[in-house]
Amino acid sequence: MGHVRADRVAARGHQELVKSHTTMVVGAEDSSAPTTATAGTGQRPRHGRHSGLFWALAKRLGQIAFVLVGVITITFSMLQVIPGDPARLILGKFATPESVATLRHEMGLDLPLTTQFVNMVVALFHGDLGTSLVSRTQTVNELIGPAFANTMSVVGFALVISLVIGIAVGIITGIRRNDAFDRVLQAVMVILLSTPPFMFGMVLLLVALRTKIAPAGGWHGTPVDSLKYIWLPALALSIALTPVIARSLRQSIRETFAQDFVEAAIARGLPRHRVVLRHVLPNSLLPIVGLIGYSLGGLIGGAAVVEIVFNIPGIGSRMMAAVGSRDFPVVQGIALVSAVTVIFFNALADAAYWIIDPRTRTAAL
Amino acid sequence: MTTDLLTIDGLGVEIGGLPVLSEVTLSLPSHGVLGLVGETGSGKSLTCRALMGLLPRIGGKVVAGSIGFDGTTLTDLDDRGWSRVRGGQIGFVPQASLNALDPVMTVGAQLRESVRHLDPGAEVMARSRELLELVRLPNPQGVLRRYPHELSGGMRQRVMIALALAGRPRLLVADEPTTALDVTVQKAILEVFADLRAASGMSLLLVTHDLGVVADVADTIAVMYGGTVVEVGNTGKVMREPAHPYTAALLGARPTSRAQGERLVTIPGVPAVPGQWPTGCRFAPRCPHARDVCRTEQPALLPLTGDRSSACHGWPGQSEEASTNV
Amino acid sequence: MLTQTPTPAPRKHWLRLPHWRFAARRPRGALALGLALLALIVLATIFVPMISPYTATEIAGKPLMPPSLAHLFGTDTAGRDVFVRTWVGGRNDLLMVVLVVVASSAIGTLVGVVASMSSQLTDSILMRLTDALISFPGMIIVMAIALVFSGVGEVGPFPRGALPAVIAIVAINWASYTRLVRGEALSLRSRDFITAATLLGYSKTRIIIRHLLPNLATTVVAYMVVDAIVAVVTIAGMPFIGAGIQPPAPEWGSLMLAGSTVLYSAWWVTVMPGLVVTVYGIALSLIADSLLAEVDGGAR
Repeated sequence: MGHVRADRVAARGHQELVKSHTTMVVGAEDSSAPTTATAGTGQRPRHGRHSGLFWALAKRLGQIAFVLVGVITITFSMLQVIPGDPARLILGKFATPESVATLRHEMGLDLPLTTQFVNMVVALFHGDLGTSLVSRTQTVNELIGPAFANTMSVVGFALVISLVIGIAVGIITGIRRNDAFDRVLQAVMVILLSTPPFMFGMVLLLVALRTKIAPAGGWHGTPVDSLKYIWLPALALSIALTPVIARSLRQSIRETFAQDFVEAAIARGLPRHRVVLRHVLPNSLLPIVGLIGYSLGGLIGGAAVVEIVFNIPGIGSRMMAAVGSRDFPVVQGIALVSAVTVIFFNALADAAYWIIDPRTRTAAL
Repeated sequence: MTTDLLTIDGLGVEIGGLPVLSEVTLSLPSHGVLGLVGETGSGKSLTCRALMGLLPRIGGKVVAGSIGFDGTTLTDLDDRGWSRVRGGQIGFVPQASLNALDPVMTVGAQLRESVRHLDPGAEVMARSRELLELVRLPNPQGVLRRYPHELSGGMRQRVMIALALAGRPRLLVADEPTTALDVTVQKAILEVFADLRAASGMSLLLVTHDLGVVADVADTIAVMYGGTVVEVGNTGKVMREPAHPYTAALLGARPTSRAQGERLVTIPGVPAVPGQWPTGCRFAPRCPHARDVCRTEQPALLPLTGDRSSACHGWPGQSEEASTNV
Repeated sequence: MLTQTPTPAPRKHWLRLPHWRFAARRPRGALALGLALLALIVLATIFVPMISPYTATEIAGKPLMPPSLAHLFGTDTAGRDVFVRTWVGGRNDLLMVVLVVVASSAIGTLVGVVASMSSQLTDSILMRLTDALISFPGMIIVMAIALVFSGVGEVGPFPRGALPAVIAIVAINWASYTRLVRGEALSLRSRDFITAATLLGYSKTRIIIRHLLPNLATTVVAYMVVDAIVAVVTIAGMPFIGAGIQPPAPEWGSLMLAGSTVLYSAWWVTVMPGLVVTVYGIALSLIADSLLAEVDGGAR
């Protein structure tokens, strides 16, 4: 979910980011062209160069902390907003009042709300996600840890595939004029975009069954030696992201070509290949960085379903089992960890922008 | 008469089938400075583009006339030919918008790039600094390290000039170099141009809508309106005794031409729109002296006395010199 | 003397700069095709069940028969006609999609506009909240919420599981609209015509309704179309994880899932509904592209 809209949001997001940081510099032109050596560096950040950086970083970390708090709150409230009694829901219609009361006590549901919340936060700080309600002996960490590893390896592989193919297609369709080949590629991208990953997964599964080029689902051992089990589901999953990258890059390249500095570079007499490789492409690839970071949520969600198609023990099947058996701690644990992962990757994307786009470093506070 | 460095002869340009320039004729002698003046939409920027071979980028093409530079016919050039001319023979200084420089490369990196590609054999680091010094930038070392968005508009403009000089061109074409800069910065930029000219005898084609700039810097002035040239001549003479009603109107419209308390003069009507040019003289709808012939027959750019020309059928009260056709 | 700039030799053309500023608009044909395909699907969901000789639940023939004139999409494991089941399922899917998109966009736009017009603090809080919601991967949170509301049974005409599914998706989905709308509203707000309206003394409500919303409309509508694709993928994916519309009510995703066990021998049970989903996606993609081209092309 959310995979398709990521390209628009990311493209706009990057634009907004740059715009907000550069409106500080454009604007009223400073008057005299001073001839002293010190002046002449344009806008001066308020607190001096280095502390401006510090504050920007602090602000960003504060925002992330806030979002984390929000995520924890939402996860917490999952148990609380259930219409009716959670313990009753878990135990089912035929539960005795005693067993319901026992469970409520075990889950701490009889404590005041704030105490429950605090307990949860404290536990989280220790990395404790609770114990499974179904299998009383296993902690949530044990149950979902390996599942996450598996899912993330599928996601990671899908990411690599999407990047390689997406960027290649994006460059080809971006640089060429609107000829037949370009149109065909674009049409293919539209079709890929419209096919749900699990549909594609099933088609691939069918192909695998018929032609035996890959095992038809299943899993064996650690992610590392399961490469042959990963590549097909990863390919299926990549169908969500590849066309988004390709189209976004194509759009980005065309927009970059229209920029003044490209014309200026050509007018200066720089050779075409230099202009394209050193000026057009790097600028065009900027929004793609954000795109990847922000698409991760959709990829993880898609991975959950693809896993089930291919019979891979990841968080998809783990979640399904937990939902089926109403194992709330596991459900909450998966939700929390996946949200934190997404936040982490979003923060990575922001950091990447900070590194590669100097405009983001002029902190607009 | 010495052969001019740059000759534009009867240039006509269309964009997507729509004529946007017609009968553009002007010339620039070596070491001369030509000011190309006109309002927005007059075609002066398009002429620049044609001059640099940048028309295909906006879907335009030359449909009539030619441009000659130092013996080469620019309008005949292919990609390879243009790559030899751009930068090395003709330097282009675009308007220094925030976007005129690659935002993710430092100024230094972009300068070094230009020097490497256009001035092989030069010592790259030293030459980059030298170029910034040529354009009178304080603290060149610091500027080299900066990113474009960290510089003020005036500094960016100077960097653009420095970049244009990297290939040691014989002609510098500057498109609105002082627009969007305030007056003191403008003055500084014009001084840079004056310096360059004095130091190396570089020829300069300055495109602007600001008559004040032209008066300061240019030997010759060419006035454009509605996609064509309406007057050419020595700056001083043209500004004292304009030979075309549009020039006269422009001069009259300057706030400095009015005394305090007097109403400012404007030119009534709206500028001519490409594709909707009237038959006959394009300025006729707004001209206070328009006669019947003005509306039916387009006046050609005809030479007058003393190296001046104008495209007008004439109006009563014109001075002798400005109206006698050679 | 008439000379022309030579047009570039074709072999060089892949490096040639595209004539971006004066390039032709995206062909209108795409929009027409998209609308036609969408109309086709909608009409099929309405009329096929009416005119088909079979119903979605009856045994119409031998199990696992390949597509034929009698059964355009073949029969499934129980012998039901896949064609009619696909289109009856389509009703459910499309209904849910409409609910999801309309509800999400309404809530999201409202919150987004309010956020853009309120104080820094309120805006910050709202944005952090939406950021937090967006951080949850769709499927995961949908499952969790479906669990939360799993006690709810059939409600009205909706098949069992439909309403919890819709609520689950909308609960997260609105946040994306808020993000989008807030960004657009903020940049619109700094535009002169809004400043003018404020200076003229128009009330906030009036500014929102008569000036902000119409300008946001195109972007929001384009987004809604894209959302309609994503929503279907989510809805159809839910049966795979045990949520969503429960059998025996047909739905594209559950139809595909049911066919997965016989994928090798009777591929049509899965692939046919899947093709319909894909065509639906293509139709909406074409429509969305045309709308987005208007938005961005117009900006130039």
